[in-house]
Amino acid sequence: MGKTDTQREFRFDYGLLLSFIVLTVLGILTIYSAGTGGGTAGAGENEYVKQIYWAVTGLVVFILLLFINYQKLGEYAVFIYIGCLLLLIFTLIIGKRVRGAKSWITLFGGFGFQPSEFVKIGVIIVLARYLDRIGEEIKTIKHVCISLLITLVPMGLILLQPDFGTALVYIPIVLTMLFFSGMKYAHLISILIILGIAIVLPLLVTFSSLTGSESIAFLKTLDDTKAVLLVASVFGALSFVFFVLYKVTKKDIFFKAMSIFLIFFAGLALAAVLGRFLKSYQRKRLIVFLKPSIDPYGSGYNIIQSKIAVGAGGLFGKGLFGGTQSQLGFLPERSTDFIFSIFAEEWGFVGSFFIIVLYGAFVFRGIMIMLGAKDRFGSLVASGVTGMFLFHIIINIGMTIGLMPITGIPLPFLSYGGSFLITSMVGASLLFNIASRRYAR
Amino acid sequence: MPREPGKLLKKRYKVIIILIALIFSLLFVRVTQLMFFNRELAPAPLEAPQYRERGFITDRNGDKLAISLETYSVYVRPGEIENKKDAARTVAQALESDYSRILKLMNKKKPFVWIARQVDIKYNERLEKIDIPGIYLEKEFRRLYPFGSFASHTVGFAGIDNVGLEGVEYRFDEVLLPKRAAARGSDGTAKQGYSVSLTVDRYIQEVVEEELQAALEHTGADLITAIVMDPHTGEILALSNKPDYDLNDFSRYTDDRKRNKAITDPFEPGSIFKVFIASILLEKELIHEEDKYFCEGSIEVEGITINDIKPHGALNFRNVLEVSCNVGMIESVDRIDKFALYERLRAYGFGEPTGINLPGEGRGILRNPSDWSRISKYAISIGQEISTTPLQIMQAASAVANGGMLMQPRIVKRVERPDGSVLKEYAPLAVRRVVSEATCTHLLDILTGVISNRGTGYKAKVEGYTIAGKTGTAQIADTEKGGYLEDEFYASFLGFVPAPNPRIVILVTIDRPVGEVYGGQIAAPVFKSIVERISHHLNILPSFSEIYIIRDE
Repeated sequence: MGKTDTQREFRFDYGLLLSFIVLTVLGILTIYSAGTGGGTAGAGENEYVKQIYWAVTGLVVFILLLFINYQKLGEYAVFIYIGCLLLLIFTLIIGKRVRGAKSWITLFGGFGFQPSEFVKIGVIIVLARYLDRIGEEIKTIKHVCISLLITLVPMGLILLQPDFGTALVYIPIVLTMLFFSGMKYAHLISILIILGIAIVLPLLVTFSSLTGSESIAFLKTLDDTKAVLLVASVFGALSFVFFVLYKVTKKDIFFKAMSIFLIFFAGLALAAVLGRFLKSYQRKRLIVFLKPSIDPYGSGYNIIQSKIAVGAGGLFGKGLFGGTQSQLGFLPERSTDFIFSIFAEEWGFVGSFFIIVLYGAFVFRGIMIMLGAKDRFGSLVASGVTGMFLFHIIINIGMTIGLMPITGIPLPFLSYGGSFLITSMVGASLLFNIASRRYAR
Repeated sequence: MPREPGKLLKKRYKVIIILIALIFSLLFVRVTQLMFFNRELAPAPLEAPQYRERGFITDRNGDKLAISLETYSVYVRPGEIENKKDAARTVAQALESDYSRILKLMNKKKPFVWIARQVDIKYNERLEKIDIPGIYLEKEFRRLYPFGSFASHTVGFAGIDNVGLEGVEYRFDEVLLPKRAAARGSDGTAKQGYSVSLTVDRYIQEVVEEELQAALEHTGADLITAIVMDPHTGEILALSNKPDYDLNDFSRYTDDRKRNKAITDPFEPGSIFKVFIASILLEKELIHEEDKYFCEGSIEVEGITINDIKPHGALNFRNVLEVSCNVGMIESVDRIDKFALYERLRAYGFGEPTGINLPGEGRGILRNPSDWSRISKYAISIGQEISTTPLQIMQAASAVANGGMLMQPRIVKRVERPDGSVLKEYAPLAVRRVVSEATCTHLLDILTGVISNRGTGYKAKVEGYTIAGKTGTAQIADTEKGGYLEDEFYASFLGFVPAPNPRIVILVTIDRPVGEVYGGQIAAPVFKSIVERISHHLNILPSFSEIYIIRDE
């Protein structure tokens, strides 16, 4: 056992390391720039100082975690899961209310954090362990349902806070992991259709009422929970009829018919639930990106201002501290949700290009690590972490340029916020861990 | 032994890579589009909402209670100023302000600093003359309340960014300064928001405020509240809490001072509540005017002794209300089932908000009869163990006054477009019928006795008018120790002018007076002064006026 062996067992992935450190540094610079601006909303002047503390803390955590073999984490999955749930329940009980959501725990000395961010990593590890254990069984609907259930419990607790945006992230995480663990395409597509119906239906009503075409009686019916549930139960009943027919005749056609009605039943039922729970302002925020001009001073304001900021960037940008949109404070939440807009205004097309390429490279590395992992557990963890990053990046950047709904999901490494920065570092550390030990015996 | 990652992975990842590549390309395309092919968005920022004028708030006759002035705000871009000392001196002179403070602001390492916002218009000319690069003027509308503290709790106020923070300014913020473009005028050019016209009558409000202020000093109370209402429409003609606050200087006052306690704070009403209990008992014919009572000064119910002010001796029911005899009331209420009583009190609107167009309305406490103690029913009959806001009492009183129909109290009469045309009219809203017209007439007739020489409300008597009313002196619940406070009282007077067909209802409540505490002694005179001064304004003429008319002819 010489030095060469240790080198072989633990390899540094410099590309990954470099990309997220560069992103974090650029984030701190942009937060500093956003904080120097005038205006009323948000940005405190010393946010960048706090972000530096978080980044350093995150790096320490990053390094410490490398000393633990990731394979060990899987063995503690049950405890991790219970710990996550207790933490979320605890948050609901003693949590501090910030902007209407009870999502913060304050520790001694006024230092607060958001458990819902860290729980993402916990759920990834637990799911990876479970999916690793069941192996090919994931092709059965039963195990797909159990995997979904494992995710839905913490997700439900986060919805209770209520923090819709953060809860939403759990869906792509579990779907990515299920996909790479080998679930059937038919199951995946069914789930996507159900989610599609559930989300589009309630928003369609809101959008049509905002654009002023609310006279369409059909859409009004969609907003009526009872009517939707009635239709859903008809589908449910039909599905049951075909189920009985299938059991009696054993003909495949009946099974297919049952499945299709079951999908519509689930979609509509979920749509009714969502329609019930989403407040009208939340619905507005989710749909207004399609046409911000219908509410330019309300829910559409952020998007319009953000698009102006990005558009004002030009080829080389206005230079650090030079952005008028950001510096004059037209843009709210500019150090968190809309940090990309500030960056784009100040660094222009060249800077935005660089950032998007950097994220692309990061995600690509994630996929490579997933493919090259030594064991299935590691591969699954890598897929979950990469899926999480990917979703955050696409939704956040998409939101700032008017392609995605406003959900308040932060940009990894760049956005201000300690809990998510450290969570991102932990995620990166796991990827690093898996990559580094790929040749270990 | 850990499993190997499956072959499947290697098959599936290509799908994902293609998907990701597509999405990232889409992000690129969009950023490029925004930056190079979408110039009409940039660079001019949208006109921010505060640059438009907030609509007026007026009284029912159009007198403006809240207006907006176009003022200058001064800001600098420190990087563009060459000689900061000169610049600071010029600005300080123009604003008659402190030179070193302004210099300090100009020396900030920020691209943009406010020097002064919404400056008094007397400086406008001097500011316009300043011609130094880096110093900028911006027009902003500043909210102004010409009458200061007048109707402060109703009007409320808007902050420096023209966002409504209290009262009608808060509740009608979206109307006064619509944020959505669609809400602009039909020609699309309107620079002003809609105006809100209150039901409040400036003259009556002025009288009420003057009388309350005088009474506040005279009684040494913590708080005096009065509401004047038209019982046929539910329109509130005046609503005042004293002490109040200056709307032009709202930040100097505590939140407590700014709360509209007439609608937010519930209190145990005491004997004025007997009006509603009596109406319920009369309606169900459980009591009659000639029923006989004998008051020994106290009564024992369910083992607990409830005291009266003094032994009233032999009485009929009319006398019970006239002298506000607790014993008589408690004996009477024994004849009704507690569930029936509760159901009728709910019908009167107690225990739920009236739905008035003002923020923060309280609902009071009317507990479910299953939670009542053995003596709750008796306590409620004399207006204790129940709490209501003054506004809830007024809503219930509207039914007694207008022949039995509960009218929702209204504070906003209509919303007008900038050109004066009506956008929305708030019509009177009848909630439900509570008692019959015959009961109301009968009860009001009985209540005129309260204002007679043998009644507790004799000090409310106004020469020439027949007035019905009821006095109240309630104990105040001790929120810390439970039970009631020993030396603190809540005095009140509820009056109907004129009986038997009231045109207005007035409630005066006095919280924790010092010295004299009886409603008949301190609240009734306030009522009387208000009536004397507003009856002619409302064209309610004294009943002997006809004699003069005949003489004139």
